[in-house]
Amino acid sequence: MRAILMDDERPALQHLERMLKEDGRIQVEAMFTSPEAALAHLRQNKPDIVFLDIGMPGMSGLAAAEYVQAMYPDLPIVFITAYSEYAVEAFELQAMDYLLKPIVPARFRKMLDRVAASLARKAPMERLQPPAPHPNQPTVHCFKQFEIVDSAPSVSNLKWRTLKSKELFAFLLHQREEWVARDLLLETIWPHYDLERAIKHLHTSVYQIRKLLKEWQIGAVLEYNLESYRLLRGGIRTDAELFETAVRNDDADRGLRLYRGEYLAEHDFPWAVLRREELHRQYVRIMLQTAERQAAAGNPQAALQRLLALHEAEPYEEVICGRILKLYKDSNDIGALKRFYHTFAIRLQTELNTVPQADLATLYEELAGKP
Amino acid sequence: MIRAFLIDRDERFVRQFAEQLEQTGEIVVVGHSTRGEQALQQIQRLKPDALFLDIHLPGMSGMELVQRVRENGDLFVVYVTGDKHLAIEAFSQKATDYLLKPVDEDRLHRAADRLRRLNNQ
Repeated sequence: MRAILMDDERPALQHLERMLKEDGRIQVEAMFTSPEAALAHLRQNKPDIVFLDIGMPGMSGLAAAEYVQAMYPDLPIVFITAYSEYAVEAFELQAMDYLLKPIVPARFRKMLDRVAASLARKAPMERLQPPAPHPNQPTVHCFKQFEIVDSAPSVSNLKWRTLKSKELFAFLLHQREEWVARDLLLETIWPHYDLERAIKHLHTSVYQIRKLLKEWQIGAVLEYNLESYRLLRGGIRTDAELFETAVRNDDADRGLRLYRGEYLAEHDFPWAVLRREELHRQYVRIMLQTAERQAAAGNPQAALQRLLALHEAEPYEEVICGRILKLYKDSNDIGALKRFYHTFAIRLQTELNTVPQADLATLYEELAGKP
Repeated sequence: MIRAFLIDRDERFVRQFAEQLEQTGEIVVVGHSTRGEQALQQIQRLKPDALFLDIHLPGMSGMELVQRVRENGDLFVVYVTGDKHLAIEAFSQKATDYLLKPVDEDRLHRAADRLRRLNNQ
């Protein structure tokens, strides 16, 4: 399903685009900050749905909707606006939905379900524009080591001419299709170069990436506009985003399978640190959840194994220690419980010169003390 | 033909509106009520295609009623009300239309038209 977006504020457009992308059912074909531009585009291209803002003071969103309906009477329109007072008019215009900003995710999903259902009813044959056929559906691995994985050997064998091209590509991918100012790129990837040389390097890298994308043929494009760049991913999927989707959908098993290591662990990219930490936090969380589930399902050994592995990765995280202590207690292995706690306490003392926090200490007393 | 059920606290309005609806030629009114609780029972029995109702009703509100009715199956909902402030909620409820009283013929025709199209899909 292809959509056109219209809002006089660019950040709002980008936000909506992001939300649509995350859902995945609707592809954003074009975005406009002016109704005239939007209508001009619409005259040549009919999308499956239009998202309109209603700004103040001009009621241009409503007027635009009227034009849209004159052009394409059956084209669904969804209003997304900060103002609630135009809802009655929106009904008059037979809008499909009317959402208030800021957009509530659950409400947004409800709207998308409605849109999808309506388009499905309308023209079951033509409603799903098949995505432009990609000969390959490559995955890019971001966890542990950055690499392109593809069934076609011609692609997986493609070598990066320079490390900086690889880093630039990883960085642009990291931006999730957002525009990045050229100056930021230069600062990030070539921080110690003088401007002229850095720009030359940037151009070389951009050229190499574009060449790679062309050979790859997956619809990915490196765009340039007004001194900014962005990478449109086309068919590329990264394991990091698949992981995030799995976490969002509570699919712990899938998430754990995907997380082969920390985000871009083997590369020294300072810009990756925040995302690495966030992804790791999510990983720890679903590991804990899975262990809970296994323990509850009567499999404390599996849960224990998982938690011990997690403890190795996060040796100072006391929440994990607490769960381990509880599991030892449940399995009636007081010896192991005591050994674990003492080892942990010693480690804290020698490595961080500190002691376990009160919560954990109290828990230990409770669990070890009782017969 | 769309089978419609009407709910409004004002008996006279119900009768007059029923006539308006039937004059569109697309709708037949199969029942009406002035109270929510009664309406629920009748709706369950009659199984209309569409509900035309006010939001402010004695007893339960129109929106609450719609929620309850929809538990037993979906149907088209058109609010007919003097209150212009609840249209957003109506969208949230997936109402088909929201008409302000007094409803002029033109507007009603468009609502009926829309119902017909949706019904035929």
